[in-house]
Amino acid sequence: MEGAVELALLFVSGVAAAAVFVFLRLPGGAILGSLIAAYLFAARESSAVAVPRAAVIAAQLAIGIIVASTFTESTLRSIRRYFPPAIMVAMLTVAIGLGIGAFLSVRLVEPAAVMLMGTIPGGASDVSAIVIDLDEGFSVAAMLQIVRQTSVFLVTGILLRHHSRTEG
Amino acid sequence: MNLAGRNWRPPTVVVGAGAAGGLGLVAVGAPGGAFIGALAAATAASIALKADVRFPRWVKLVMRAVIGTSLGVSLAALPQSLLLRWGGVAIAYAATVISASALVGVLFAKRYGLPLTTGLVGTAPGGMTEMAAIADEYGLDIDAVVALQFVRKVLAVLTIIPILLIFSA
Repeated sequence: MEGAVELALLFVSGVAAAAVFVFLRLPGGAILGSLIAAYLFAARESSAVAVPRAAVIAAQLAIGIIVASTFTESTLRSIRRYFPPAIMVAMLTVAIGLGIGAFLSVRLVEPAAVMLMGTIPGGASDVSAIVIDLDEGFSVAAMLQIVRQTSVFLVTGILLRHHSRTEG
Repeated sequence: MNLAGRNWRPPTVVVGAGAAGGLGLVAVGAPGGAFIGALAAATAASIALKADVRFPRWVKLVMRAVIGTSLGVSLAALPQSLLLRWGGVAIAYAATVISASALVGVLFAKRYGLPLTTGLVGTAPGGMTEMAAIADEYGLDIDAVVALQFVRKVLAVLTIIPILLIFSA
């Protein structure tokens, strides 16, 4: 019973923190907020909480379907319009991510799979939904994804704000 | 099936196909199978049926929170010294990616005669939804931004599959 209460508290704090981060319009806020709340909750010495595998699978299924639902007629039209350059840019961006991952793996003597999963430029929630199936060491890959996504969003927002002010 | 003037059959089929695809890969023990299987099957069904599937925001939030919570618990099991070390690496990595993707964005914009801002936002790996929202907010070419972001996301997920197959063998 005590375990069930601890699990319920873990989820409630995770969802509440996710809602706050989303409200603050932080990029990847739902994952970032719940991750921080769960980390603080589970890092207590007395905690032995674990998230049930069924809940994780349900969330992975849902996120897969949610991502699929972003593919609409209008996305298809946009892709058709920019097809060759979009592929080239995507290949270049993915190659850069993989190159950095390979470099980090060699330089830091870390498993290549963890580094490549951490640096591949997919969405933080997509990659996180995959690494959750792998061992604990892969949590670092999720951390790299989240830090990248948050930093890129913040820097892009600041640059555009500055640009729109200087343009008048 | 038609509730409140909306045909619910295509969305139901998309969700059902996604669930079946994901559970199928889970059954064969594929790492990340639930996500990859659901994504592939639901996308195929969505294209075939031209379905318009929309999820309430709270569903997206709760599902992402489950993944975040699970990752937080996994991170808490790692030694703190390891996390401190990775914090520095993550910041250096983010700075490198921002510079590299900005360079790609500038080249893309110059080559295809688009505004520099559209090139930068289109190639910035900061999340497809987030970048599309920024493009909308600043009046950029949303078509270009969505196309670039979506193709990158799909290619990245497709690249993950061989990585998993090679390194989990």
